Amino acid sequence: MTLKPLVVREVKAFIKNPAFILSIVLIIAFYGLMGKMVSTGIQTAVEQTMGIHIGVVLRDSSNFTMSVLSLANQTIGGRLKIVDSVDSGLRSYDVVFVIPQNFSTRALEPGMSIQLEAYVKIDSISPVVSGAKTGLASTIGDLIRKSVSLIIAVERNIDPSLIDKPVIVNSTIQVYGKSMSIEEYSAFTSFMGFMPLMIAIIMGINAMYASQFTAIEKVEKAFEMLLAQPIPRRNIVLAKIIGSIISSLIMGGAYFAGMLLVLMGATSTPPPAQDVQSVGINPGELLYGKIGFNSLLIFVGSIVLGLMYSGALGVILGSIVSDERIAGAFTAPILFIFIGIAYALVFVGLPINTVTGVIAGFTIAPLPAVVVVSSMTSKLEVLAVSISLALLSTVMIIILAVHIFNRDIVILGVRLGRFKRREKS
Amino acid sequence: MLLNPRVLVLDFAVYTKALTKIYSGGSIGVKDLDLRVSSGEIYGLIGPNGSGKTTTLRIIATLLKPTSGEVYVYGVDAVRNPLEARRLMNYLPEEAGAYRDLSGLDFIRFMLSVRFSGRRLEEAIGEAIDIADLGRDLNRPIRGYSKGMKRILALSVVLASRPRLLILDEPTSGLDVERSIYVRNLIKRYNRDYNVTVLLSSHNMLEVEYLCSRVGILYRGRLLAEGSVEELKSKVGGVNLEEVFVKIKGESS
Repeated sequence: MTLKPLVVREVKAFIKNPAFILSIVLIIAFYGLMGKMVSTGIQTAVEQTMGIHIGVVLRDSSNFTMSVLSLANQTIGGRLKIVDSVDSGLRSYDVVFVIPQNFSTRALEPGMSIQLEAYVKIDSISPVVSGAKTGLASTIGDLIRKSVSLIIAVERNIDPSLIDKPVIVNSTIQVYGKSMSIEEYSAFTSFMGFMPLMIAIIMGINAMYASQFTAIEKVEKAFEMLLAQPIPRRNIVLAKIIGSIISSLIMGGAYFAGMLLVLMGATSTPPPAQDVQSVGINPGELLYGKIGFNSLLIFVGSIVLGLMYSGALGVILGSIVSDERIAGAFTAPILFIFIGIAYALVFVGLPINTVTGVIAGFTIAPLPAVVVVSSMTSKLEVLAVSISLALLSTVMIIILAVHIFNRDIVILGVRLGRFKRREKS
Repeated sequence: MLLNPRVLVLDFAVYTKALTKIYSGGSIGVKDLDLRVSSGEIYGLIGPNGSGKTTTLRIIATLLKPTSGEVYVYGVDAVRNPLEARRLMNYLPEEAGAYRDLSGLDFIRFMLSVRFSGRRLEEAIGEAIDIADLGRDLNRPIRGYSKGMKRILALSVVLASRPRLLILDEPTSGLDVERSIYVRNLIKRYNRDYNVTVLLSSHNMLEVEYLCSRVGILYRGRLLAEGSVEELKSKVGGVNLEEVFVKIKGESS
């Protein structure tokens, strides 16, 4: 019987909290906007891949091969275009197939598989666009397999379903001019997708820690005593930021140790049979060789900047609210917003240019993606803009935090609706 | 003969001129407050809730910025040079607490380490430990302390820092009788032995009568009357400070 009023009180405490309501509004508005952006990204990707033409380098011009290609071309709506070489083909088309010299021989020889080479050019960080393009390469491979079966069936007057000619497509992905195997590309896309999310989460958690520490200090009533001491407020702010960064790093370390344990557990399965060919990727080699040491260095730098940025943001929030409950209500949407911004850039597949460099510079979370791509494509102006703005915005937000610590608001708090703090005297 | 304003300011531990604080929304914290606290005295601010006591103390302690007016602490402009002013004073807010995850000893060390170092720090820590008189409890986390223990702990830190000006906002609020007496005696002792000027606010008239050499009565942000307890009594014909307060407030209303 006593539970009901207790629950009602708890719920009322939440729903009558302006910060809680504001956080809900923020989340709904932001993710509504993000949904539209992702939808636009998917639509763009579909449009890009629907009408895409495929270059074909023909190294076997036998009648059989020409018949297969002709049939495949008819089936796909005339999108196959003969090109002289892979390089010239990739200048005009995003996907290029190589029909090898022994194509017809292997196709007509029973028990042999057909080997095709596919080259896919990807100039986008959008997983939707790149997924669609690599998917198209598989589709073409399948189309050729079916065309081969059909042509053989017609020539020999047998049922096409009785012919099973395996087609192996060896894909090479050209990502911003760097060639990668499909396995390397998978690792690269995982890196590009995972890193902004990781930074966004770290930034969100760091902002939460910083705001909670600051707000709790206010609740503990030690805050005014500390502010009355002969310490520059700048030092108090910096100490709070550094404290939250250290806590976040400890938490991050524990998180990665946990992940490592999961991975170690997952890989401690019996070794595969000897005849199974395993494809190994050396992550260090991939990151160093394909992405470059400088990009990785900048990536680490962007984590440091992200921590300072989010720490200062958290300190600002914690210093203007009255308690950790309101601080928590404010910082939760910040975590989602960081994740949202990081993913919006990736999902929408925005081109890496000065505008996206500016967005990344001001919001930090998508910075690694922008830095890695602009470095790989030698777009130095984008690199310079994004890093300079990231530095500037981090410094500005720290200055803002120090400024707030020198104002009345740090003592009186923000006066929101019914939570107005009356000056007690 | 014209007085040199700088000399005038230096003569007082606290000197405010036309001090005004208007909060956003228009509510008045203090209005045209001219407060003079002499070096070495214990000055008490009394007044009902919302009269501007905490606002005044917070402005002097450099926690709030005045809307207009001047504040000097031993001649240092507390608005323009807050850091320098803070070196001369210490402030105990009302209901001042402590970091709950620290032990009492760690709290003392932390708060004093921002002012002192080396041998002087160790001396100050020793002094604070003596004042707090919490025995083995000093090694326990503060989260387990009673309100009175936290109050004594906070007070021990501000006293052991031996500031030239000590600002105490309702120093015995929430304390039991024994602890209240202990705190009052400490304030008296530090004022007498170390010449610490004390500016305090209180709702406890007996406490103010016992401690303060001069008293200021604040009401709606204005200083209605000021003087020694005896002067105020004779001025309005009251038998005690409570009566003085009620009469002066009545006249003002």
